[in-house]
Amino acid sequence: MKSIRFLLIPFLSLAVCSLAQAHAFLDHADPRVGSTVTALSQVTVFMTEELEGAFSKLQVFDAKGTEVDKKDVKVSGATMTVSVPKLGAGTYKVIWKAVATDTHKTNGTFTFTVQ
Amino acid sequence: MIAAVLVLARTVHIGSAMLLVALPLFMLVILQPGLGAERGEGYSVFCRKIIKGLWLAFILEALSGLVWLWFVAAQMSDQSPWRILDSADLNAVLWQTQFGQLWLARAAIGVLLGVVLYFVSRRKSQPRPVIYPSNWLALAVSSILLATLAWAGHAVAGIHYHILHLVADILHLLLSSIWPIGLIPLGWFLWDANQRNQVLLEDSEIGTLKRFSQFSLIAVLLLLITGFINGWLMIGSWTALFTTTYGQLLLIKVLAVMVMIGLGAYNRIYLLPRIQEGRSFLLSLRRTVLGESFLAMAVVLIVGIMGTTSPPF
Repeated sequence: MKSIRFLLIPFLSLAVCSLAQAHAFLDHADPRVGSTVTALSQVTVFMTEELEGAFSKLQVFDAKGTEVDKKDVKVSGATMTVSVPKLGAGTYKVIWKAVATDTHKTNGTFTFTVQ
Repeated sequence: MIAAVLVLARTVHIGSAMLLVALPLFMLVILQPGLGAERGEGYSVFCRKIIKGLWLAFILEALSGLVWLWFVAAQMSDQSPWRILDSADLNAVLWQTQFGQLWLARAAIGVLLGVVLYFVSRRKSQPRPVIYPSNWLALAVSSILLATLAWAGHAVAGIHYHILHLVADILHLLLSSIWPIGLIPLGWFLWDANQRNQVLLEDSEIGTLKRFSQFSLIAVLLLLITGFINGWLMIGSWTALFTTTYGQLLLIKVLAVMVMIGLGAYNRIYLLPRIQEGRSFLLSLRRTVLGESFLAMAVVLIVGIMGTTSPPF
């Protein structure tokens, strides 16, 4: 029985990490990262963790750096959505800032193109 | 700077929350069955010391909780810790985020624990602590306070196996109070016996050591299950264990835990059966348990650091 303790070592060490916290990363987006689309009414990011609505942000900028989204970000679980008006042809940059419910903060960008 | 303070606050908070459970648990479950009415005096004095230790842990838990909230608010809102104090964002963190609401609920539980501890410490003598309901209530409330820490961790943000992760976290936190954090009151107990110039331990005190050994073995076995679940949900692969910062921190922790278990096995197999043969065995046991206690605190520190590091899975 005593020797069992030694066998438990790797599991125990894994066990003690129970309060470790993760960060919310981009899982996928709609429109897809780097994709080309013909039309869209909103941009949605799907994160790997649940988000805090009060501190998470999603913005869409055109090639000149002007914010083109409607600033009506909605957060539901791990998903963040912002509406956009009818967008002209060009490349658009999405900037996201995610604060997970475990309080950790991440941010990132990606682009998509409208034909 | 924010990350360093958060590591410190988390470490102190998790450690003191576990001690708030470990101390009454030791007094009521590990120590108490060895208490007959005829040998109440020395134990009563030690129990009073445990209650003072409870107050110290309570104060540390409250202060570190405030610092944790303060710096998390600064981190979430991208402001300096000094600026956040004047900002509406502090209110937003408190009332509009899951973390803030959790902290408000935990503050209410903390106030309740303070009231219970007041009634516990009003009793001048504790010849048989097990008969006083307020002592058990203190254990129950502090256990709830510790269990709620699971909502401050990864389990609450995860989108996979949410309930499983939360349950494993809660059980794991509570079990950790038996072992390894329970080593701290055990070390204190042995140190106290030495302070009273006891040459050898009495039968009831040896019973206390054996009881701790049995409880810790059960705790270790249950930690195996909850730990395996947590490890599976957090790490995801063996490669990540070696190639990520999080994994490397975990490996350092593995080493600390290996040393602790090695010392525990030495105590159980070699020292405990010889404890009545001479004072040197008692002193050796005291040294190894104190060493394990320091390692337990080091493990909590590593957990604090890992909490600010992103796990690979």
